[in-house]
Amino acid sequence: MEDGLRLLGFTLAHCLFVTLASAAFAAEPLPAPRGPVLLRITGNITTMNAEGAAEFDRDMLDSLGRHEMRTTTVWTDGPKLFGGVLMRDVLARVGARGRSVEAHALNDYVIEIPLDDFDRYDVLIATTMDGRELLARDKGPLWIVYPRDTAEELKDSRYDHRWIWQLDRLEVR
Amino acid sequence: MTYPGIGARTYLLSGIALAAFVAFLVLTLLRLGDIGRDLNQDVGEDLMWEIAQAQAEALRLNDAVLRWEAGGARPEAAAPILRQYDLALSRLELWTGGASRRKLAELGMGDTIARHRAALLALEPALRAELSQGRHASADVEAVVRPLATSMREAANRHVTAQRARAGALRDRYRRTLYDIIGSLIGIMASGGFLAFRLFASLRATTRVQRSLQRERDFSELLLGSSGEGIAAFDRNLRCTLWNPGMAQLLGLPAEAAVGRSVREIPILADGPRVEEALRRTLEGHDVFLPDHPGVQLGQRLNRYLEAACFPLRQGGEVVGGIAFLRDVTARNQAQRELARHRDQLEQLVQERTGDLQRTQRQLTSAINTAPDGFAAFAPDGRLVLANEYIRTLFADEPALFDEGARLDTILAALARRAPLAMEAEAAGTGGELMSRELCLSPALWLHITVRRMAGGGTVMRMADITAYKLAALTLENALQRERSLNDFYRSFVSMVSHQFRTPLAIIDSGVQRIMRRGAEMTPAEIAERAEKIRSATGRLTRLVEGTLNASRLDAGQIDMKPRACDFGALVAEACERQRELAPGRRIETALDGLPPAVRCDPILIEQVVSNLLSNALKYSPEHEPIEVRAWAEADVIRFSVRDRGVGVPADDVPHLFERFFRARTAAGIDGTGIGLNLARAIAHMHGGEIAVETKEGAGSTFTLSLPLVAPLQRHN
Repeated sequence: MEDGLRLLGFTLAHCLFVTLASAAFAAEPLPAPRGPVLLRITGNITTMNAEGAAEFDRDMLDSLGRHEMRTTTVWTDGPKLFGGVLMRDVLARVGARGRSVEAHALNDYVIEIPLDDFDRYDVLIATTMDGRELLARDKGPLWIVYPRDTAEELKDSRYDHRWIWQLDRLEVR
Repeated sequence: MTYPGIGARTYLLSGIALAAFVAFLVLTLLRLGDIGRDLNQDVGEDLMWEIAQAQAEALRLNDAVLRWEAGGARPEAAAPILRQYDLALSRLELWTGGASRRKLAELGMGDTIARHRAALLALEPALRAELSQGRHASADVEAVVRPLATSMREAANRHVTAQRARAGALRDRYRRTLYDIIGSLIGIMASGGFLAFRLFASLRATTRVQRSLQRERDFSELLLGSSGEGIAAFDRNLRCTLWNPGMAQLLGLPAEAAVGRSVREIPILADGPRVEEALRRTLEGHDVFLPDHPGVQLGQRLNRYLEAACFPLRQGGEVVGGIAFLRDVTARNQAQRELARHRDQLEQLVQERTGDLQRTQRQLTSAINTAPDGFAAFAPDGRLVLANEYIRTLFADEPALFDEGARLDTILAALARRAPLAMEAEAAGTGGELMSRELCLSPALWLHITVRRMAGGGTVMRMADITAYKLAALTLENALQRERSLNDFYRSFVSMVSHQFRTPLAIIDSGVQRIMRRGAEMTPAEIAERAEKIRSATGRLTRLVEGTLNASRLDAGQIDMKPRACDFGALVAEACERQRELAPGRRIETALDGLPPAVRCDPILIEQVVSNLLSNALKYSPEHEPIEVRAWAEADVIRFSVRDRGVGVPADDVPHLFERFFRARTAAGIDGTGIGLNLARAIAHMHGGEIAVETKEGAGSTFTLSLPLVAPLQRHN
């Protein structure tokens, strides 16, 4: 019960933080993408650069700050070094407000991910693996990567399913 | 500490239960770990999904190409086909690494997949060329996609079959594991239950022991706290570890100011050097007692008398500290002083009183010793405490009788032994007089003994010499007795004379008067008759006078007895003959056989007795009745009896029959003086004999004279 309350408090505080951060970023307008659009974010967001959506090309993503993370995956052998931007940076940039995002892949695979995940873990929208660009034919161009080796609970199929590759679109709800 | 009810066996059982509990728990955890690992393994749905995706993407590539061709095969509309190609390829690329590749290899599909991937990759240049040139590509694509789809179906089939087998095996293993776990759980529950029971029992026992300890501690604290005495404990460094409320109150120093401090730091103790010295001696193992003398400065400062005692506290034979008891003895001290003062006063008083008492006692003793009476005092328990000289001289032949400590009842018993008759109880007087008796110790010593109870519970015995009084009284009594009998005698004599003398005198007087009146006219016969009557009356008078004289002679001791041997039978026979002459008409029967030839007696006196008895028999019986006279000898006595059948003597007159001048009622109207039988008995007594009578009123009497044959006469001689 106490744990539940603490979690609730934490969640509420976090929502507030996200909101404030979003507000800070929201002041800065999002430029229009110059290269091919890699990610399109719709739904409950405040900062947009298209009709009801925020669209990112590769440079726009990279401008949010690249991070690197080494982790094992279910689909590869041995640990891999991933590079990309933090999911929460992306969501903050567009002023996302809500409980979850619905992630869509190129092959129409859809999975709903709670927003909590991105605060709790350094979830990466990876664009490179072992320094190599991810391609559409190889789980690219964007792959949501969880820090699987840093938290034991992440080694679970429920989290594995959130490792959506060939990420195309996010809808904040 | 041993808890009740827990022995070595219980510990062993608990140990075994604990080991079993742990073992079962470990087993269960291992089994659950197995299941956990199994659960973490990918059960294969992903692979099935991946196969389906790969198949679908491949077929969608084919569809895209066909749609593109149907749409006119325009090169500018080829982008979706390339994207679909990437997607299809990505499905195969997925299987180049990770768990999926291993699973496919297990299904024997590794090489097939690799071949299809190579084929798909090989398709790309041709496809790109065809698309850019607007040529039909469906044939090439289909040549790659169709076998791929078929392989995918086969892979799916193999995977499902393998998956089913694996699921079955897994179920079997789960079931076994489940049974193991259930068994382990039962074991856990059993051993856990036992442990819980033991724990509960131990808890209860512990609680009980703790409660008991708590109670004891509470009680000890209560004892220490409620004790009126001050109690303080010190460790080896003379540091105070305990300071009870009594101590705080006695010394006016609270426990907080004392506990934890050294003796030197506790102000009131530090002032008294004896305290520290006493405690040091206690630590050396001695019991130290500090009485309330003025040297203890504590008491002086507090204006109290305090008494302290210190004892060593030992643990395992080693002195670990000391305990001191402090007591306020002010009240006791005051009481003792008060008591001493009272005692002195009392002693003085007692001395004064004792002096008074001794003086009084000396006076009393002197008075008692000089008193003309015997005097003895007894304590309430009956023991003699005081006796004067006089009473000792009275019993000089028994000097120990009136020693101090002699018992009253012993003395009374001794007196009773000496004069039993005189000790007959007289009526006890009132006013505490227990006894008042006269005691005749000897004819020349009469004592009057009085025993009185004194007010204080003791008893006093007084002995007065009443010999003179007693002798005078006896003399007086004898004289009075003689006077009385003389009086009686004369009264009887006068009565007898007035009766017996008057009749003959009247006869004589009437006879003489007749002669004087008719003198000349009387015939000689008449005169002779009158004269005879006068003579008879004169004779009677003469006999009366004779008898009276005899009696007075007897009284005066003037009758001499002159015994000599005489013939008793002849004497009786002569007397009978004379009576026959005097009374010719009477029949006298005699039986005088068996008499000894001679009996020693005074014949004149005996003849008088015999005549008296014979004349009485004749006088008191009718004329026609005979008189029976008998005389006989027995062993040493001769007897002479006279029996008549006359008036007899009333039974109540018999005891007086031999008294002088006594006349029985039946003798009325018959002349007599009442002297004859009296004289006869006196004579018989003079001879040492006796006269007895058997009589019945109206039937007659038998008088028997008994005379001893020898003895009295010989004695007389």
